[in-house]
Amino acid sequence: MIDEKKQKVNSRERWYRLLEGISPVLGFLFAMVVMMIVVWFIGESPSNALGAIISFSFSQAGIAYIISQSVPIIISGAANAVAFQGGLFNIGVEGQYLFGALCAGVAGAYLNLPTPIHILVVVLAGMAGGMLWALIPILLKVYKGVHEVIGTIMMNQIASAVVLYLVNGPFNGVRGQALSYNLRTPYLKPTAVFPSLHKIVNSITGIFGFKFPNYVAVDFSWVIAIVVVIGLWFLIFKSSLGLRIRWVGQNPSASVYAGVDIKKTLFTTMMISGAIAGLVGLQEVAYISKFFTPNITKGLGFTGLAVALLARNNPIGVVFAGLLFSFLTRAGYGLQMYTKVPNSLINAISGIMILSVVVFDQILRRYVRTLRRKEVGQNV
Amino acid sequence: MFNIWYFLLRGLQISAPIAYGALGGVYSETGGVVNIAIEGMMLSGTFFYVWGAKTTGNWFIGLLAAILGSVLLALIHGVVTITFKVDHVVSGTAINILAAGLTRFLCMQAFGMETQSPVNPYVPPTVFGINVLAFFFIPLALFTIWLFKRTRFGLRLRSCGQNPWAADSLGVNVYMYKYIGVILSGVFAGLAAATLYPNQWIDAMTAGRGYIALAAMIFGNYNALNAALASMLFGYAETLTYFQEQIPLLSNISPILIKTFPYVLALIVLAGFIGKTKAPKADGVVFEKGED
Repeated sequence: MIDEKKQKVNSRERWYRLLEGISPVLGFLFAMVVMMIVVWFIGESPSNALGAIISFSFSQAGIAYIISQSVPIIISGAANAVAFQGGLFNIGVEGQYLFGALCAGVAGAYLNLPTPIHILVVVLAGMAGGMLWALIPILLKVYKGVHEVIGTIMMNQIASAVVLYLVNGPFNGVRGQALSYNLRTPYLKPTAVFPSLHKIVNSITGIFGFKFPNYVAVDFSWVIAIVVVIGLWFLIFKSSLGLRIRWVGQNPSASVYAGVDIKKTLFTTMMISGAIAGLVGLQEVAYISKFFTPNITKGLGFTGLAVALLARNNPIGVVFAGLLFSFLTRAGYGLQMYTKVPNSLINAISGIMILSVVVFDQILRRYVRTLRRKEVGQNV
Repeated sequence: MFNIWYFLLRGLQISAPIAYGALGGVYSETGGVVNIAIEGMMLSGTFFYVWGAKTTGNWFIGLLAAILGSVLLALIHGVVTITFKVDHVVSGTAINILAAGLTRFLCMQAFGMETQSPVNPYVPPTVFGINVLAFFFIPLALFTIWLFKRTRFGLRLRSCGQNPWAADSLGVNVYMYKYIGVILSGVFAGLAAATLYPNQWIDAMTAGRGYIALAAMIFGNYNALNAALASMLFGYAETLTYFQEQIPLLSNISPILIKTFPYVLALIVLAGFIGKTKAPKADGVVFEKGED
């Protein structure tokens, strides 16, 4: 009798959990529906668009690209996720990875070190650059109460100018050829370039008949992404620092009573976020182009923001959300090439996706809360 | 030759979009809704201005289109934060991302180019060589102060930002006033858009001015006039960078680096003064009728 009741409660509880957790899926579907309506509205058939997306994304090369290009997106998602976990809104990932990438490029081009150490130094330089760019906003937040969004946005604006200045001036690798579009730092020393992992990865995926083509980046940055994700998962869910970060993120006033130093925790959270953000550009700088340029891929910080929200700030979820956004980027190029739908639609859709995920999240939470209340009423 | 008269006018023109953005922020935050989305609303407005003016050949319709384009996003912000009670900063950021993609998409649809529109000759009339709209932000700031201090509407809007539960218990329709505050911030973002280079739309042309406007609003202590004056500080800081070569002290600084001046100034100002400013008490707080 009691067991039966318990089982009933358990299954109901499971249903509630499912309802609370399903908002990313609903948000994604909603955004896709909006996209298809827009596609239809501008006079392109949705089935055409869908066909273009599928044929462009789910070929062998397409899948290989999606996986490879998810690496910076996943790292950026992780940087955003840890900040969110700690109650911080790090819009500055954008500027942090730009400056981190410059630092990494400079460390790779100007230092003379043997291979494994040089690579390690490049990685550390990226992290240091990201942390440096996160430092001022978090100090302003902790000591002056300036909202980190304002602080980090200002730092984003400053980053693009400072980076342009530094590559134009002291770190110019193309002095004399003053064309702004090929402005870059000198090439990285061969000792600093990330090793390719094609052979190892292909020997594993080859078992399933899947090979990464040579022109797709399969490199050391994959290892970085994996280490970041797993390390972050342990940090957030298995360490006492992670517990403090989550406390401060969820209930700052209560965590004071638990003896948590809020300022210190906020500072640490932002530094971790900045350090991870500094790694976002490394695949491009240390493997693909082998130099830093101010024209490096932009917008990954904002993509990471959407990724973190979609993953509900869970590092493992970030991997899947990162793959999803990598797919969306690819889908955008597919649309651009084979239909009249411009690539920018995908950007607008990611904004809509963030909005719909958070709205569905609120609606479902409220719904579950009323259900629970009713239940309590019945039991009494 | 450094022409002070020209400098002052040019500075007023550059300050105006920031000031309108800041005034928009004042309306929204006075009602208790944090509005990071000002940047996106301004960007949307700039596109709709060019589109409206160019298709009809009339700058005033362009202005109306700009206001509509901004208010559209303001409405989304209102629905998401007020009706669905989502975190204001998350919503604002999403709207900024949406606006960046949306404007490029619409520009592609309207003009066949993604990163910029063709030149639009239908700009607002000029007085003393600058956009006539640039002269209205101080009067509008004064009007706002009168509205907030002396009218029933202003008092109620303020009560929704200070203590929505008390306002609610006195029969004020809190949701409605919050909506009005957010929508008015959209109207101001539209004005800002029509004052910023209305002769062409360029991708990401607001370049963080919406955020500078928020910094000005905070620096101005959420007071309309002070926010407008703070906007002039940032506006003239930016103007200085255009006159850099004519100013002895500044001419040695790299022209790339000096572009960061307004942003650095914003950080310094926020660092120096924010402890003394006071946001509306329930600014950014999710209000739900019947709970406290």
